[in-house]
Amino acid sequence: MNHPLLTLNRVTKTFRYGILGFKFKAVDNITLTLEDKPHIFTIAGESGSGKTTLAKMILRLLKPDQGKILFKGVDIYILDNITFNRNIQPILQDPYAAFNPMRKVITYLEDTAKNVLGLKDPYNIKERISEVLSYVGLDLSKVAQKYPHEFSGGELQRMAIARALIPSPKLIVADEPVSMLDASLRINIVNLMKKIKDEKGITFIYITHDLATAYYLSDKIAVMFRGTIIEVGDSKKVLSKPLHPYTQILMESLPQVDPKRRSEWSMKRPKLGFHIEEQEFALKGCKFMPRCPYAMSICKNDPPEIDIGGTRVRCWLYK
Amino acid sequence: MNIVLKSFSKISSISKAFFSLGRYARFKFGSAMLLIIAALAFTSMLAPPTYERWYYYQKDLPPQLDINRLDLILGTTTNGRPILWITLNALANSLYIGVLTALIASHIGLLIGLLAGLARGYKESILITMIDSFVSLPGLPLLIVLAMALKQNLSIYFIPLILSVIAWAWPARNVRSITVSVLSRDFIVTSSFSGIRFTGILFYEVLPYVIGWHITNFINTIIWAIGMETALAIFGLSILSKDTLGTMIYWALNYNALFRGLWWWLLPPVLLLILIFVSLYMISVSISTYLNPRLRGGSGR
Amino acid sequence: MNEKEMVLEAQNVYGEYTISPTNTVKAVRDVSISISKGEVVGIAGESGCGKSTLVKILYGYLEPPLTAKGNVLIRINNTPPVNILSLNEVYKREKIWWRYMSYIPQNSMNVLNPFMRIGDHFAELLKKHIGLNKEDSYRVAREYVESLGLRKEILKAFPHQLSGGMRQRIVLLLALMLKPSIILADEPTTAVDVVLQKALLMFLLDKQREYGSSLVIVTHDLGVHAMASQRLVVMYAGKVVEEAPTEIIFEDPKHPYSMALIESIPRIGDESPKKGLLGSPPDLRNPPHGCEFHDRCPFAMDICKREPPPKITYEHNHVVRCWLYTKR
Repeated sequence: MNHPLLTLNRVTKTFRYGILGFKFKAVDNITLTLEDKPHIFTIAGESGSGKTTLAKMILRLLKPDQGKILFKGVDIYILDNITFNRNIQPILQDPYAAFNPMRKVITYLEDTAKNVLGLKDPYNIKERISEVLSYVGLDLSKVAQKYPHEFSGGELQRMAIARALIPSPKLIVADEPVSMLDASLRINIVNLMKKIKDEKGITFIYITHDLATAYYLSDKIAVMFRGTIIEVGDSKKVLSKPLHPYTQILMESLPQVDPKRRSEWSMKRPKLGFHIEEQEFALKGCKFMPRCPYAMSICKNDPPEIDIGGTRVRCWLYK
Repeated sequence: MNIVLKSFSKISSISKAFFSLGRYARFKFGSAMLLIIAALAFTSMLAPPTYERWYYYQKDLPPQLDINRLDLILGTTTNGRPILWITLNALANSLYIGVLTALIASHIGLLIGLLAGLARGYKESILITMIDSFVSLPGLPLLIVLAMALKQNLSIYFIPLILSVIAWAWPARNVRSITVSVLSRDFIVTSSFSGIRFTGILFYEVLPYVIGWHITNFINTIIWAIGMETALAIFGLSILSKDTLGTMIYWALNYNALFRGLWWWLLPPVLLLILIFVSLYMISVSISTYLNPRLRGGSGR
Repeated sequence: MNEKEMVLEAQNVYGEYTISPTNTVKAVRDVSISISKGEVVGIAGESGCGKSTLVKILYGYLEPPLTAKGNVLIRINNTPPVNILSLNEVYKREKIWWRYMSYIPQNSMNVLNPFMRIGDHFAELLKKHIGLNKEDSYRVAREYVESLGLRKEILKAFPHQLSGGMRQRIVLLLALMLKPSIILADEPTTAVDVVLQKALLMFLLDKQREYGSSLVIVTHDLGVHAMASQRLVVMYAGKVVEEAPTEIIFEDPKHPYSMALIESIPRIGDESPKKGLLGSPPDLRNPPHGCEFHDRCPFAMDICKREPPPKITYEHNHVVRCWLYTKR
């Protein structure tokens, strides 16, 4: 256990936007470390925060323009395909898009068992598939012949999780795995992820914009805003006592699932920006400044990262 | 062994698809017509060798409905040849040219389209430029020039080659755009994390989508090729020594059949062309309707 | 709840989507709800429960393959109630839609005309219903738009130049512009981030209070209902399974489905394990005979499979449709 499970070292990704080719950094100089012990690490943020871009880079779907991503100390671009796939697996947002509608879903599990896990004997393959399916609560005989559209959303996402479990990876990157599911089914998948972490010792990177499930599920959380991580630490701490003004506004805006707290919620009105994204990205210094209730003139410079009781915040307020 | 089993199941699913296609009225109609046309083309083999000889029969004869002289059921040309046998032969030759062109062109198009879809970087740019240049070439004028230049070498095998020079680009473009769109979808990520690499993704993920278009492209190329050859022939730029539906029309026009009222010389080729186009079109349309994912219940809840 | 003035009432409404001559999806089955003046009613339920279809029927937006049966009575000002389902399209467009009742559809960010500038959207509406000319309507629109924190330059932009969140705001503004008496909002904040969601909801509620309008919010997000709706209607598989003031439903949900829904939501500060529902909603092409929830219900009894449960009313206008409450 000398190397951390996953290290992101000053990772940056620049995109072009619009006809004039306006450049912006979707992911700006991110440094992050995941320890090599089973836990659930949430990367939270709204759309445009860069969390999906970050997830794609960890999965080798996009190459960072600067910086390195290391898995157990090894650059992921040095790892060969099989080793990479054996250790890191994805769960995608839309289960119906994750499988080819023309193929039976089980074929993906078979492929994973054969190519990634390296099983050759059809009996072993069937056994392994049966094993993971019953672990996620599905019955092989019932799902073996089905095409994606014949599954319900919750079942199909379970198939995706089962497929990811086949090679017993060390890390599963789940990109908004429950946002397309109905509310009553979400908690089942979330509970399943918790169970997998506890029983199989697999670490999850949980990408989401839903702070409630993040609170319920995760051990650590990193909050992203316009490409930077503005706060990272123990998730219960960060979400109950947010330090960064953006996190505070997020938590205040969350609707409470308790009608009695309505007046509390309606007290503060959030300050809305004009939401011209290019302008926000082009800002020098703290990108949250236009909407920050505590903005000072020093915020025109990039805020430093400060450690407050285990939580790291990127804000001039704490200097 | 695995590949044999897999292709067997593919064949059985294709035949299943065929039977469900049969539900479409258009498909039934179209294939019925096509079968009739194909049968007619085959009967051309029964033609007596004498049909090519000039003045074997009396010239300029209108259709003779006489059991004893079946050869003359469609009349004769100004050169005394029985139009019945000419038509049937012409039909066979035109179909032959059409199918051969389609075989060559649509498969070249398929190959290049797939490569262009998979390639990245400079290789992709080269292939795209090539495809787009050929697509934007003015077809008929170029073919006219080519046919004029290569007049001596024209044969029933050469014309498909010339036609393919123009015909491959459009299928390539189609196939490339399908390949590119399939490769941008989420399930490619799932596939790649399932350990499937380049060729596997091509075969198992991309090809099922491409095949449908390929079949439609194939049929449309047949239609196009027959039409093009006919157009060239009317200009006199086809193989005038052989009978095709186009050369029939050429000769008929050349001998002023219109003005001289020899309608039985012009009508058969024109009618047959229409029938071929309509039947092939119907088959093509019913296949593409069938392949429309909305009717298949593709990915939905 | 007092008997306030009813402005919109659905009586035994049925809604069906025709897929083929032999196949129809019975999306809404025998739903009756009534909405009073100035009330904020929430319709909750998950995908496939029929809430979006119900709202379309309430609005009278019956585009094929959707057909509807039953009565939807609307009372405009003090005139006698009129059945929307019996009106023809032209009458609805000219007299009712946008003026008295407006509808914010799902995914409204895609509802704007890509060929028209934002300002023109406003101008078209104002010209048609109030008769303002282009200059005046631009002026009115400018003031209006600035009240939601948008700059007036936005009027010159085309929809595709704006982000999804901004377009959502524009659609909201358009719907509220003519101060309608009834506002029907279908998932108005689902696709936007949490901060914008709060701003939009607060704006919607402010205007609703200011104009004295009634507001119907349709969303699966119970958090939104907790913060916005006064009364909550829970739908499942095309039927209303429970209806009560919001506080009461959250405190004392009676129907097993509502119970499961409320129990399954994780909350900040709550570390207790949560449970969800298993299975999936029934296929509405062949709705089940008895209670539609029986195959997933932890309290299912024999009778639940055979007979649809009756309506049982408790105090505070708390209505449940469940066999559990018939045995006293």
